[in-house]
Amino acid sequence: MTQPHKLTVLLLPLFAGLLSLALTTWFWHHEQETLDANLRANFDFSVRQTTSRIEQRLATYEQMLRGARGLFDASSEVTDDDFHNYVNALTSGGDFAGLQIMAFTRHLNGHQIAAHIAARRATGEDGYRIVPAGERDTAAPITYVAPATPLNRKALGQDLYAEPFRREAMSQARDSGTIAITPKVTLLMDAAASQPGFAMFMAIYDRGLPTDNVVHRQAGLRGWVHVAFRLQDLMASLYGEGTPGIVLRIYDGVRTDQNGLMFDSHPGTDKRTEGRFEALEYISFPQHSWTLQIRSTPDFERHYSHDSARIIAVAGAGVSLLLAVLTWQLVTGRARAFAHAQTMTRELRESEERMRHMAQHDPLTHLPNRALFSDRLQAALARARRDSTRAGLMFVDLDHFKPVNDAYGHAIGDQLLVAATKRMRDCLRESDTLARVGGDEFVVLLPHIDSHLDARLVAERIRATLACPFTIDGHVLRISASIGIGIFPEHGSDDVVLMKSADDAMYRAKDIGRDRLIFAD
Amino acid sequence: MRTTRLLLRILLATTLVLVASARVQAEALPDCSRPLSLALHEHGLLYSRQTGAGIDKDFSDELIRRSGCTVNVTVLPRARIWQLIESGGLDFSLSGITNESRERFAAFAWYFSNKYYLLVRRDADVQQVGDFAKNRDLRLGAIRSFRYSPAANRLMDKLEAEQRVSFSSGLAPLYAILLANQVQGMIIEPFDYPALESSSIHAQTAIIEFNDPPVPHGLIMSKRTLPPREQAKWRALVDGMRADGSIERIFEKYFKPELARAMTRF
Repeated sequence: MTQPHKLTVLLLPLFAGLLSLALTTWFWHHEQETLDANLRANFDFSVRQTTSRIEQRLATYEQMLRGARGLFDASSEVTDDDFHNYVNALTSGGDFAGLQIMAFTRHLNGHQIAAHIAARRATGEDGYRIVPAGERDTAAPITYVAPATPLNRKALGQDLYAEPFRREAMSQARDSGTIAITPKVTLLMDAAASQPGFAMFMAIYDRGLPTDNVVHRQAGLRGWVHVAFRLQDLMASLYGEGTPGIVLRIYDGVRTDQNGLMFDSHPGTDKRTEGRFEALEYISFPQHSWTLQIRSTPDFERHYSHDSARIIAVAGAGVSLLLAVLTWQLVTGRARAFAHAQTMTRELRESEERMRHMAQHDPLTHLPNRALFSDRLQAALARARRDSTRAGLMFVDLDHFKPVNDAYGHAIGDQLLVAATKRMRDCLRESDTLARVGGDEFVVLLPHIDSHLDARLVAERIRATLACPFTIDGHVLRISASIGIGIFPEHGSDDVVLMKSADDAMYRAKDIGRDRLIFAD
Repeated sequence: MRTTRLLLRILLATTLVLVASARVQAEALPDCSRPLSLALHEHGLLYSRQTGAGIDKDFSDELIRRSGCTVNVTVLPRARIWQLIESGGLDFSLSGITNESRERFAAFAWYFSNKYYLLVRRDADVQQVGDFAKNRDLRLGAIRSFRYSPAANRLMDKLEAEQRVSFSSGLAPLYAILLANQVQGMIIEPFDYPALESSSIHAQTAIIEFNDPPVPHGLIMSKRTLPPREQAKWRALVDGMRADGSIERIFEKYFKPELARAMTRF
């Protein structure tokens, strides 16, 4: 059987696992990029949508101002009631919920101021006056306000020329003929530095005069219609749905510093984790800009992303590991099966060997038992018969063993048997067989002897060695041996007869006083 | 008697020619049966709300005059204009350039062409267009939905993919953020030259030319509202303005004669 190379066993699964991991990483990376691209596209869309919603809302108010200009263009004199009725008709729906005030402000030269105040008072505005008080060459007092709420009416008579930001925007509106917006201001009816707001102006010109260039527009100025908003209210009135997870801040101008902050959709989010995407978008007005700072939050990512990349990573890693294990199984499968079979065969053989040994040997002394000895005896006798040689058989019975057993117990007796066995073995050749056939009875087969003398010498050595005292567990023990010897073929032509002859001789040796050896008759 | 007959024949022939000529002229003029809409956008010399004047304003005035139609002119952000042209909410706009996606919903009548330039801060250390893309610290300012010449579009698209573009609805904030170093470059056209003459921008910036040929600009017509026959009539009006030198004269009001000639004769 060809065994796979050790390096192959190691490298092939590793390669399979790594290849799968590389593919997983590629898929994961690709998926991540796709998700990122989708997320970015969604964010870009949200930025465009947010900007567009604000622009459209402002365009709506621009249209509203154009409508109001149309009212003034259509008649030489628009009364307070005309203005109220017109604005009320415009704002009757909830569509203009963000609008705080719509007003008409008249442009006055110094000589027109007194007549203007008188005319306003004549229409029932008894307390009408221009604020702040004082002499001036020109004035731009708020003349009509709508809706005419008590709060809005507080603005009546306010000279907008006195406020530089508004004056600047009004000049721009006058010169351009289109809308102009103020920077971040506090609305006139609000407490100072309360909510940030802005005003949008559109100039109105005298009827019948040309307005095709700046000079004509400045000469023909009649006043302005204007609207004012709190940013918070304006943003609340936007059309369409906002995008979840988007933080919007609106700054006045192109810098994103706290002073210019006009609106914050999520106050305090700076303390939270930074979002993944951020964009600055600029809305351009004539001579003015707003900066929209748009950030994504983790909510945005949760809303638009999904777990596919993580699933690919986890599943891919699992599959890679599985693939590596599977490859290892495939590569090493035959080798491991073969090794397993070898182990089982060896264990079976060892088990058989152990069983055979147990069946043929004495468990205490590990000497062949009677069955094995009988086999060997028959074999030896057959060989001797064939070769016409002699073989010797000795029965060795230990004298005085029982008293030792009784006196010191079986454990000592067993140790004595083992020690005696060792001494007897030492007296024998490799080819001789010593077997235990009873409690204290042993037999010795000498398969190759030339004469009785050979057997006698061996038997005498055994007798002598067993006669020497044994020291077992500190006890000095004395035994001896009675040995009966039979020689093939003289004392028996087969194993049964030879055994009986030797056994008889051993009993005779015992009978006549032990510790001796007797040849069979 | 013979003389009288001859005179009558001549009179009849002349009348017939005049009637036929008037019919041809009437057929050549656009359909004015409904009020049309045209949007301007604020962009340097093209149009300024502040002055109410510009090349596009002059062009639209002349075009409207020649068409004899009632055309409502408004001023809108450029991105909104393209949306409306696509949806059919707007009939015309001016100074548009084409690309594959715009061809699907808009038709054009070309009347001038110009090159695009990269305006960069001097301290950005940009010698050529490629340097801008390489330095990831540099950001570009751009007007939402604007497209340019091929090389400028490539730069724009690359930077947008890397989230290195800040968008604006108009040109003015871009100059402000360029001076504030919030962006380091922007793509400009000859209409933007007057802004560059301001001392602060002139001192802090340099101009790099894209290696692209001039890009034609034209009258944008919504395919959704104007059938091909009407588009052809409006295109004929524009061609007439080019042919009789009206367009070149408009450009000469805003540019030196050589530049006006180069832009309108392409």
